[in-house]
This record gives sequence, C-alpha cells and structure tokens, in this order.
Amino acid sequence: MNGPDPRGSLRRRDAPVWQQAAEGIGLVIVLSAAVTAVGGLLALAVSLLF
Amino acid sequence: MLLRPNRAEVFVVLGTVGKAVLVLGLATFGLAAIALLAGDVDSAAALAIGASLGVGAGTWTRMHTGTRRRLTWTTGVVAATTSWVACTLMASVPLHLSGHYASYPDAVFEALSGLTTTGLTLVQDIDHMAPAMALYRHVLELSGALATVVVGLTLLTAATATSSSLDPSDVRDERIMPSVRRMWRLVGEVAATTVGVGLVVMSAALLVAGVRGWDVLVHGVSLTISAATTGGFALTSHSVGFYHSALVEIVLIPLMLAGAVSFTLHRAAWRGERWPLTRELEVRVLLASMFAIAVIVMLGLGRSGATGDVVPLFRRGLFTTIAAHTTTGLHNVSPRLLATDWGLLAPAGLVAAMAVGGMTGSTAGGLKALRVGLIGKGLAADVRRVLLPEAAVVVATFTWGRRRKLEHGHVRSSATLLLILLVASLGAATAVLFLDSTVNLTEALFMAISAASNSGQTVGTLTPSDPVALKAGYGLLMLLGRLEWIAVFATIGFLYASLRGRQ
Repeated sequence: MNGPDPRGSLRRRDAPVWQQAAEGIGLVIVLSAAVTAVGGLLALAVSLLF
Repeated sequence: MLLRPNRAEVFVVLGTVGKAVLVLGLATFGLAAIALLAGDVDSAAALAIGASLGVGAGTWTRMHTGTRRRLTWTTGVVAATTSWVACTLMASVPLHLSGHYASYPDAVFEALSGLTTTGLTLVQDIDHMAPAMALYRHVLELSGALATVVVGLTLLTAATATSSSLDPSDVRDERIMPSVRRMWRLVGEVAATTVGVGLVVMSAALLVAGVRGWDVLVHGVSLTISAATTGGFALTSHSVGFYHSALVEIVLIPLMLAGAVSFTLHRAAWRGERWPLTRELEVRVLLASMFAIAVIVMLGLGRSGATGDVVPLFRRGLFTTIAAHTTTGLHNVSPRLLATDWGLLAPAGLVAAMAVGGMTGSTAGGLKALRVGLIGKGLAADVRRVLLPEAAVVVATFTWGRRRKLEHGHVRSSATLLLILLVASLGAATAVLFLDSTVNLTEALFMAISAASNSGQTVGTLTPSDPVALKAGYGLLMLLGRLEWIAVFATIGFLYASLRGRQ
C-alpha cells in the first residue's frame, strides 16, 4: 500500500470480485469485533467499580 | 494582491457545480418515481419540483459553461465548496415543501446537515414524516458521503497529507480530473458493497427486533445509510433507542466504523494487501483514542449514577462513544439525558471523541486521527531533542500507507487545523451562549464541536424556535468542518479575487 494513489486500481486481476469484497468486509468485521470485545470487558471492569 | 480568475477558470468551476446539481437532481427524480409507485403523491410532487430545479439549473449551467479546461487544485476546492452550497439550496426545496420544517431556513439547515453528513436536525414531527421524504434525507447523506470521500482523497488529503511538506501548493497545478473520475467509481463500489451487505444484516436484525412488513426495508435502508455514511439522521425521534434492540446496536457498530475507516484501508483490504495494520498511525491513534474515551465515558456514567450495570454500560457507553468518535450522531439514549443525567465527565469524553473524529479519506469529520497522531509524534520528537545531547539528530517517522519521515510541515499543518477547530469552537460556543440564554457552557461547547466535527450528536438544545443566526452559525461550522476549513477560505479568496483581483 502506498497511500492514496488516485490512479491505482481497486481490483486484483487474479481474484474474483466476491473474494475481494469479502476481504474488504473482513477488515471492518475484525476491527469491530476487537472494539466490541474490548468495550464489553471495559464495561465489566467499570461495573465492578460501581 | 490576488490574480483575477480568467473566464475559463470560472467556467470550469461553474461546469462542475452544474454537474453536481444535475446528478443530485437526477437522484431526487429517482426517489420521486419510487414515491409515486408507493402512492405517495405529495412527496413525489415535492421531490419532483426540487429535482426539476436541480436538473434544469444543472443542465443550463453546463450548456453555458463549456470549456476544455480541467480542474486544478484551486478550481477544485472552489468547485467543491460551491457545489455543496448549490446542492444544499436545491435539496432544501423538497424538504421545505414537505411541511415538516418551521421555516425555509430550517429546510436549508437540514439539507446542509445531510449533505455534510452531520446529522443535526430541525425536522418537526419526524415520526409522521412520509417514508419517501424521510429517506430523501438519507439520499442526501449518501450523496454527501460519496462526495466527501472523493473530495477528501483527491483535494484535501491528497493535497495536504501525502506531499511531504503538507503544502497544497505542491499539487496546486496538477490536473486532477482523470483521477477524480476513477475515484468516483472505486468509492462507489466500496460504498455499494458496504451498504448492500449492511442492509441484509440490518434487515435481519430488525426482523428479530420485531419490525415487520415494508418497515424492515425502510428502516433498514435508513439505519444502514445513516451509520455507513457517519450521517446520523434517523426515521424516529428516538433514533436507535426506538428499536430497544441490542442486536440492532451491535450491527450498527461495524457500519459506523466502516464509515470512519479511511478509503485507503478499504481499498488495500479489497486488493488483499497484507500489511501490518497495527503499524498504521491512524489505526493506532483511533483505537487508542476510542479505548481511552470509552474508559472516560463509562467511568463518567458510573460516577454520575446514571448506570453502573454491565449491560447498560456496554450498550449506552460503548455505542455512544463509537457514535461520537466516528462522528455519526446516532443515539440510543435520549439526547437531553446526556446533559441532565450523565454528569460532566461522560459528555466531556464525547466532546473529545467528536473533536478527534475518524480517519482521513473517510466520511467522518473532526480533526482526524492522523493529525492527532502527527501532533503527538511532533511533541515526542521535541521532547527527545531536549533530552538528547545537542549534536544528536532526532529523526521521527510515522506509517501512513508507507513509512514516512516526520517533517515540520506535517506537524505545523495539523497543529494549525487543531488551533482553528479549538478557536472556532470556543468562539461558536460563546455565540451560542449569547444567542440562547437557556443553554450552559457545557451544552454550548458540546453543540459547537458537534457541528464543527460533522458529528450530529446533540444534547437536545437545538430546536426550530432558536434564532436564525444560531442555526446559520451551526450551518457555517458544518460546511467549514466538512471542507476542512482551507477549502472554504480558498473559495472566499477566489470570490474576492473575482471582484477585486488584478487582471
């Protein structure tokens, strides 16, 4: 990855589109799962304080 | 002394504005057709009138401004700012005709809020608004979000963050039009996939939450677009709280994060590029900031006595933190409670979250995680310089796409924007206190930062009965924040040069 290259192509020619879209969605899901899990643990920890 | 723009430069700006209004007009016509098919003649008529104005004005402008010139950085930012204003005026017509706004300025405010993906609203009786008209507000959010990413990547971020000096003059003369066209297509593909997949999952969540019939589709489209564009409009006055569903809230979290994630990261993920994501400065800052602010908000919630149980802390604390940090503005708690029941610590955390915002090249607003990271890196480098021997050379680096050397220009440009945001927010908060005697300083600061960072989180103080000057002030902050200040300043300079510049 080299920063936002407006001329760069979105597509990889060697992989089907659904696979590329799945990889894109995977990034968001992994990120949200991490945020939600940490948030849950945090809520548990804070609830023990009060 | 500024140079007066020549005829071709003015024409290329007007031509681009005409195209923007034309495209939004066509989208409005599309929704008018759907409203007609659904038997909602009133909404269809209102939308068609607005659409006709847009298509007519857009076509006329394009017919009379033919030029072979292409957009440069200067004409690009002027065209972007002018397009936002022109599209706002066009979009305000159907909203005003809907009869859900107390006055025409309120409809203009709503259109601007949608197109800047802010989410502050002056709508009246939203719970009884016709679905087509309510969804029109989301069409505005979607249009604004796509334009934000494209303008952000091609004009603002590309110009101010990729060049080593962060100096727009580096790319001022570069022709950007070919890349803009390609960018529209790429952004459209990612947006269509996110919204498409989000809609399917959201519809399932709404079915589980007890929503039935066509409402599943209407509410699904509304929530998905609102979250993925970090817009924040909702179909009900209770926003997400209306559904009383933890599942709906959990589905909204990835959608809001998708909106706040840089398009550069989306694109890299699509291309299957494997790189250490955790090395990215933006990712590090965003996650660290979200964690720190979630701690502050949850501790504030516990201390205020609003709630101390796990599930409410998780649902209210985490959801509100993410909604504020991604500058989305959806809420599952009554906005007024933020001011009356949440104490001072939790709302202060939310103000910080909104100010930091999302990533560059996303639909999120705020200062942006990259700039916060650059200021932090600059500060750390200065401290190291003080501590190390005089002869020592301090080289700081950061990862943004690739590893880059931190230069003074990076820190200066980021710190300038931070300063502008702080001064403008303080000034706006003072103006709010002056114009509305019912709000206190905390509420005024909350609302000023919310508008300037295009968040749309509210403490319930903004009402249709507020003075027009107050609404205009919030509107100006939304526009300035969306175009990252510099673009609006450049447009004012362009207009001044058109009148008083040297020939």
